[in-house]
Amino acid sequence: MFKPFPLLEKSIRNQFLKTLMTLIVVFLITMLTFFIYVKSSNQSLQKERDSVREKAVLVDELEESINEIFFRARGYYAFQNDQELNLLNENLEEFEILLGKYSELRLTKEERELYNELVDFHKNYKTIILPKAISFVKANDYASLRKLSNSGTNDLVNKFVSYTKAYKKKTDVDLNQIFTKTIEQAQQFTLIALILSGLILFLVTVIMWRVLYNLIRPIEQLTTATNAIATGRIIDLGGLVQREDELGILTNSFQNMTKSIQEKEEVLTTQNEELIAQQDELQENQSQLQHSLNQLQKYNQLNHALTFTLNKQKLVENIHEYLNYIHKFDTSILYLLEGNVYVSKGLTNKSTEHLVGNLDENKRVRLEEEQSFVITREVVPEAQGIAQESYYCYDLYSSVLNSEGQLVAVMMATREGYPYSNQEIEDLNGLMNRISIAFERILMYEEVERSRQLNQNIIDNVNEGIQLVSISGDIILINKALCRIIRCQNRLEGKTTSQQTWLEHFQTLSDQPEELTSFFKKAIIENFKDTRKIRYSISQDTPVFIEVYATSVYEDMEKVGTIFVHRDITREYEVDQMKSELVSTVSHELRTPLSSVLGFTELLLTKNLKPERQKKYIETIHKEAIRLTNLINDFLDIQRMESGKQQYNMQSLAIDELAIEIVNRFRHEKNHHVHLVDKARHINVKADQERLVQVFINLVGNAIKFSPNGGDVMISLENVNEMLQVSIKDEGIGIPKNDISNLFQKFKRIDNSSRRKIGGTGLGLSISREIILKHGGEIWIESEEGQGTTVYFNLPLGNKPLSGQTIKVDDLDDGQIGLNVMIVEDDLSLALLLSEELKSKGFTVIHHNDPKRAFEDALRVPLVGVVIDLMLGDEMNGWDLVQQLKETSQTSRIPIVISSALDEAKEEVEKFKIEKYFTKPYPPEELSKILVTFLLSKSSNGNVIFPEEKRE
Amino acid sequence: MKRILVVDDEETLRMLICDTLEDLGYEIDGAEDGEEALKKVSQQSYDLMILDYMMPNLTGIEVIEHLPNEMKQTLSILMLTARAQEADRQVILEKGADYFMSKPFSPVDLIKFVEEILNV
Repeated sequence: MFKPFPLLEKSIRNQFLKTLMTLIVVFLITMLTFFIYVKSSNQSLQKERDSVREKAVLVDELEESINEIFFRARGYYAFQNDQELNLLNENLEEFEILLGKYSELRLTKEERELYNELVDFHKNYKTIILPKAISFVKANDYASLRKLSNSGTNDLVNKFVSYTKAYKKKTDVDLNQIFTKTIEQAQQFTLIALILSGLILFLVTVIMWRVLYNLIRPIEQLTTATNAIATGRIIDLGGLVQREDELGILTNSFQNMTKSIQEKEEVLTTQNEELIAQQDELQENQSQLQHSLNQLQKYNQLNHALTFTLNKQKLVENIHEYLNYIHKFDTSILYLLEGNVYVSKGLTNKSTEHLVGNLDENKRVRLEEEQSFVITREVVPEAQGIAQESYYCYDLYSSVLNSEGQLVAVMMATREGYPYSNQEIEDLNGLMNRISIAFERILMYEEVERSRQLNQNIIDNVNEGIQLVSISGDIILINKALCRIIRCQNRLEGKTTSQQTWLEHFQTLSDQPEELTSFFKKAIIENFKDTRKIRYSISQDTPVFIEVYATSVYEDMEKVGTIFVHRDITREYEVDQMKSELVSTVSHELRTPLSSVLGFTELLLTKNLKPERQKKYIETIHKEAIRLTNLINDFLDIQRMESGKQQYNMQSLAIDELAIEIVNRFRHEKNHHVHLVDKARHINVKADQERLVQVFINLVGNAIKFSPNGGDVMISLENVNEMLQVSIKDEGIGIPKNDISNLFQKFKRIDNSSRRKIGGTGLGLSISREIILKHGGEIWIESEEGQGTTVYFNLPLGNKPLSGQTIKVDDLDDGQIGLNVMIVEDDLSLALLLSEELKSKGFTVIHHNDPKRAFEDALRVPLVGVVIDLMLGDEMNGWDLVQQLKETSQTSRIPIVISSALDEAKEEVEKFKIEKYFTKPYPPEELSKILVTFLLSKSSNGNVIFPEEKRE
Repeated sequence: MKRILVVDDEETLRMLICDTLEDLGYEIDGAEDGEEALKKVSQQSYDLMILDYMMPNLTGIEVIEHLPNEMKQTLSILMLTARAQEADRQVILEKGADYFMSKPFSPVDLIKFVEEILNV
């Protein structure tokens, strides 16, 4: 059926609108009705009140009018005034009108009667009484008039007046009644209005409830149904489906939707199941992928280790970890056959150590042949642990072989219960081959590293500074020696250093920056086959001289760099300098005596000279010639010694003999007194006599030369630290402290005024040093400027110390006084003989050949005794010395022994209280005996006192 | 009479020079080092100074340097030296010596040289 606007008729909205409209209409009608009713009620009441009032007014007017009438009538009656009559007539007229009006009003019966009487009165009065009265008046008949007046008219009037009065009263009552009624009515209306409102409200409530019920109920049903569908139940919406309104449509749609959802849900559930299946599959794949990924990662780590690790232990650990990850061994060990490199899992240290290096020979052979093999064995019951049944163990042996097929490393692994697949073994073998390569690589690296280290060590230990510079000028390599030479303090070491940097360094360092820089630059750029060199110097602290060689480095005929070798030639340079200085010195030293020789010869040849002159010149020439010879000899000596060609004729030698000989040699020195203090008990040394004499002569000669103002030169001999120590002490000009260390350098002479004058070759000390060193001794100098110089040298003793001496007087020495015996003797051989004897007994012998000097010395040195020869010289003989000693209080108590070839001179002996007089020859022991008695003697004739308990 | 001062630290050489130049009509004085020489030239005027180069204390050159300027005008200086190299000769002449003679020398030549110098 076609419904053009079904919703318009059936829709909830329309229903609602209709109900609302009806409600409004009902409400309006009710209100209107009520309003009209109230209005009309009010109007009727108003009318009633107005009519009452009108009636009251009319009644009043009527009363007034009557009264007027009577008033006018009496006026007329009294005065007969026509005007009064006219007014009376007017009043009568007015009264008539008023009556007419009154009659129109609704009148009660009584009123009607009153009205009728009034009408009668009016008629009567107008028509009968008044004309009669007028006539009476006109007639002046007042008696009739009075009679007429009292004929009843007054009754009516009185009646009327009472009526009006009554009426007035009644009107008031009526009005009050009406008012009361109005109020009552109003109260009624209010009540009705309230009831009406309540009614309408009730109606609205009912309607609203109805509407809401109709609307909400189905929605609730729908909600329940939705919830039900959501939870899977299905609820019948039969009632709702029937409805034709929106809810009906909604329910229909809802049902359709539910149906379609149900259909789709089924499809979805199917799809979902499929998806879940797929997901499971994916997850499976993913975990497989993850596993593969982990494996790959481990494999990568292994690969990395195989490729980059240079540490065997680390590599072995990496491989072991990987294999364990892949194959999941229970216990395993991997070790290298060499180098104590191993790693294990599930094994105690002890078993690991046992396994390493204790490979069964058969297994070894098998490993080399098969690379990998598996041994299956049943687990012995003890080893089963908690397992109830017996199971199998699979021992895997695998080897790493080097390229020559030799066993390098062994892998042993056990898996309990899980055999190895062929794939596993295959993989393992493949891996082992790769590991083998890795090991070889490490070995190669170690080899290379060793040789690199060796090279580095060689380069670093070379004395020459080596600097390898690339073709672009950057330093590629630099060794320690160069760093030391050019003071780079690691600044140029290590990384490559740019050309600019190191050239700048050289520029600031070297004394010849420009030359050196241009040398470097040219050498770097230019192609040259030969070796170039340049010298430069560094003047920081002590000057250093360096020679740098440049050599091009070629690779395939192309220059790839330059090697600079820096050689410290400071020593050579100094030697050069010294040699040229030597040449200069030699030239000067040679030319000076040569000048004399040449000059004087020429003078002799060209001039006529007196014989004395001639002799003097010839002597000078001779002297200068000797000087020349000495000079030349010195040069030759040093030359020979330097070149190692000097032959030493070593023989046992008594140094004191030699020393006395030296003293003797210098006995004729004018200003210098050379003497010997011999404190050495052991005097035998192994030496070349000639060379040792040379040393003595050099040193004593120097001592004399460098004490130009004369003085003592003391040669001392003593034993120090199992050596024989010789010192030569002078009282000369001394040597500045700073120069002492330079003294032994060849050609070195201290450059000061007094020394220049002294001359010499500057070779003496060098020669002496050379000789002493060759003898196994040392030489050194102590000196103070202006205070003199002492040169010491020592020599190893030649034989065992002398033994079997009868008396050792040094046992008696209290260490302060000393055991000095002075021998004043010009016969050297005798002096030597005596001093030998005395020294063998422990005395220190001071030898003098000059009595003057002897006396001076005696003043200074405490002496046990003085042995004096009488025949000493022209100036002063022995007796003179004795006298001098005895006359000087300081020396007067020193015991004196005379040793003379002359017969004893009793007189003098007594005179000087000589202790002993020996006539030569006498046995030397006698001398020592007598000296010992001096020592032991309590009666101190001498100044030597010994403690008693020390006596022997 | 021309005055000559011979300065040499070697006594023998001093003697040689003095003996060579004696009897030639000169007044000859000797000094054994630079200090003595300077002292002498300040006390007396000399026409010629024969000066050794290698001397202690003051070298020949130093002696020249210590000479008052006005004296250098009147005093001829003959430097005698054992340092015979050409370089030394140059240095010595540059430093203010007027003449130069190397050791060893011939006395005959020395006489000629001195006469030449003093007669100019």
